[in-house]
Amino acid sequence: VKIALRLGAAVHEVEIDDSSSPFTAKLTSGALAGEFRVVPLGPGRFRMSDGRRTWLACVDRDGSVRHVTVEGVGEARFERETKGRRAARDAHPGDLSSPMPGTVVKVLAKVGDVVARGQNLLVVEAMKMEIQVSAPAAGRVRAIHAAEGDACDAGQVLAEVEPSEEAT
Amino acid sequence: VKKVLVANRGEIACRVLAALREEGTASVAVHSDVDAGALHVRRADEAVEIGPAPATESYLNVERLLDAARRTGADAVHPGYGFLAENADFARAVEDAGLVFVGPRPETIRLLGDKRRARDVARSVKVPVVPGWEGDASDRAGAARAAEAMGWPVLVKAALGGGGKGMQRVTRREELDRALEGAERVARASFGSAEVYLEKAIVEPRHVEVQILGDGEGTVVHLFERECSLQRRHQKIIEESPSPALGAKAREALVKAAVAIGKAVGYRSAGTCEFLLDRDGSFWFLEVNARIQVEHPVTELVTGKDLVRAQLGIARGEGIGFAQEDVEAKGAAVEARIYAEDADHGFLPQAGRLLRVELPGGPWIRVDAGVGSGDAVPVHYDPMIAKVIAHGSDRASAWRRLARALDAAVVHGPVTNLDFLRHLARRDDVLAGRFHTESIETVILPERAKRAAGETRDLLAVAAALADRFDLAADGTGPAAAGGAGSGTSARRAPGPFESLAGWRHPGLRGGGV
Repeated sequence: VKIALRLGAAVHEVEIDDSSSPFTAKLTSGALAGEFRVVPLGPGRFRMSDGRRTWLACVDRDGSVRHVTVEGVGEARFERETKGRRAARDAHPGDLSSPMPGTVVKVLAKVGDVVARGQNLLVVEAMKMEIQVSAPAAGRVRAIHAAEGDACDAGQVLAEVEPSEEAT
Repeated sequence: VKKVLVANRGEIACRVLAALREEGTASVAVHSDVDAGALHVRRADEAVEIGPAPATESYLNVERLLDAARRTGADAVHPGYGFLAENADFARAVEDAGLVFVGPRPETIRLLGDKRRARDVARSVKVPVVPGWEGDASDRAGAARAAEAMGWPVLVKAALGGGGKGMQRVTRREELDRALEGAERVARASFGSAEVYLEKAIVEPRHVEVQILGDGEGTVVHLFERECSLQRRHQKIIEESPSPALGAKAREALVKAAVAIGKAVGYRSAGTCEFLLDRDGSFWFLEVNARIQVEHPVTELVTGKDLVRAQLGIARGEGIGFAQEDVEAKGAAVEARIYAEDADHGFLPQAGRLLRVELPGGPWIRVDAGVGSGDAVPVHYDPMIAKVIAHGSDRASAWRRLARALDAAVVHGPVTNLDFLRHLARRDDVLAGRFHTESIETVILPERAKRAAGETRDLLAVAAALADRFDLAADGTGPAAAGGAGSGTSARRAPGPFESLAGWRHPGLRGGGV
C-alpha cells in the first residue's frame, strides 16, 4: 500500500508492506529515504528503525485527521486532502474567519467599505486576548456576518471582502 | 474546616482536592454542565452541578456556589486561581454566609486588587515601584503628557486588572489613544471598571516573584523566588526557582521587600509579590497576586513545603505551620505549562476533544494535570492541559529532566504548545538563563520559524503513513482487517494524498535515537 503525504511543498511517498513480520515502511524520497522496520508496541505506538537508529512514534486517527508524534523529533497533524476542501479554500479568497473561538468585541467596517489588504475589520476577544481580524485582500466589504457581542467559533466566516480587480 | 468546596475546575481544582484527600478532609467539587465528567469531578467526594458552560453562569456565579456549599454542608471554600479567586465580593459573600474563605481577607483582596493602591502599599514600606502615572486617563492629553514625561514606551494597564489582561504597550504618542481605548474596553468587560493607569515599560526586564505565606496575625514568611520571564502575550509558560538572574544579595533584598509588603497588609494565606528585574540588577514592585498561583509547584519542590496544605492550616487558624528559619531552598525546579494553543499562529487558544494524553512522570518529575485522554478542552475556559514540573539538585539537571519528560509526552487532539516547549528546553540561551520577558516574541519565535531538517519531515511522514494504514481503534497492534473496521475508515482503500494541517514542527535537531 502506498501513501502520499504533503509536508509543506514536498510530497513524501511511503509504501507499507505488512505481509511479513516485522513489517516495513519504505520512504521513496528524502534524507532518510529507504526502508524502516516497524514494530507495533501497543495502541497507536510503533518503534521504527532504519537499521542504524530507532524512533518511537505515536499516532492517532480522528476522522480524516492524523495526529503524529515522534519522540525527540516533533509532531504534526495531517488531513486528507479532498477536492472539496481545496475548492473551498480557493473559491473564497476574500473571507475573513475567526482565528479562535471567542466574542466579537468590535466591528470596524461596514458593508460597502473599500478596504486595504491587511486592514483590521473586526476584533475578537477570548481568554485574555484581543485578536485583530484583517482583510485578506484589498477590495470592497460585501458582507459582515457578526455584530459586536456575538460569540463566534474558530473558522467561522465573520465577513466577506470582494477582492478588487487589481488585487486579484 | 471539615468539608471544603473547591470553587474551580481543571488542574488547580485537582491540586486542592488532592491536598484535601491527604488530610482526610471531605471535599465538594462544582462543575458546569459540560464539565460533568471532568477530572476534578472524579477526584472529589461529591460534586454539584452549578450551571451551564459559560463561566458567568457557573464558575463565576456566586449565588450558585454558595448554594452548593449550603446544600452539601461545606464549611469552607477554596477558590483556586482565576475565576473568583481574587474577587473581594466573593470572599466577603463566603464569609458572610458563615463559611471560611481559604485565602486572604476580603479587604486585602480589594486593596491589592486595585493596582494603584497596591503600589501605594509598596511605597509605604520603601519598596521601589515601576515609575507610572495614576491620573484620570479620560483626560487623553494629560495621559499623553505623562507618558511623554516618563518616556516611551509605556504600558497601559487596567487598574483593577492584573496578569497582563488588557495590557497594551505603546511606543509613540499616535498609538496612545487607541491603546487607552482598547485597554478600557477589556478592563470594563473583564473587571467591571474601565479605569486604567500608565506604567513606564522597562526594556527587556525579567519577571521575578516571591512566594509569601501570612497567618493574618502579622507573621509573614517568604519561600524564595520564582523566575517567570519566559512569557508569551504577557502570560507565563515556564517558571523556575531559583532565578538564574539573582545573586545572593539581590535575592535577600527581594525577599525582604516581599515580606515587608505582606506585613504592611497583615497578609493571610498564600500570595505572590511580583517584581520586574532590570538588566542592572535593580528591581521594582509590580503587583501582589492574592491567591495560590499556577506555578506554585516549583516552590513546593525546592522548599519541600506544601503550599495548599499551608493555606488550609492558616484557614483553620493554626498558623503557617513553620517559621522562616525552617524554609530552606534546595536544588532547582522548573515548570512548563502545556496549553491547547497554536504557537505558530500567535499562540491562539484551541479547544476540542483530547484523543490521547500521555504525560509520563518518572524520576524527578511532577505532573499536575486537569484532563486525561477522552476529556475535552472546552472553548469556555482557560485551555491549560497540564503542568510538567522537573526537580534537580541544580538548574541544569532540572532542565534536562524537563526536556526528557516533554519529549516523552504525547497530547493528540487540539493543537498544543508541546513542541514549542520542547524547543525552549533545548535552546542554549534558555539553558544558560539568558532571557527576559520579551525573548519569546522577539528572539525565539522568529528563530523557530526556520523550518525543520529533512529528517524530521521524513520521520513524521513515515509515522503518519502508519497512522493511516493500521487500525488503531481496535487492538492497535497489527494491520487492520481487510475492508477496515473500527473508525469506519477502510484501511485498504486507495489512499489519497495528505497535507499537513498545522505544519510540522520540531523541537531541535537532536536526531532521535531512543
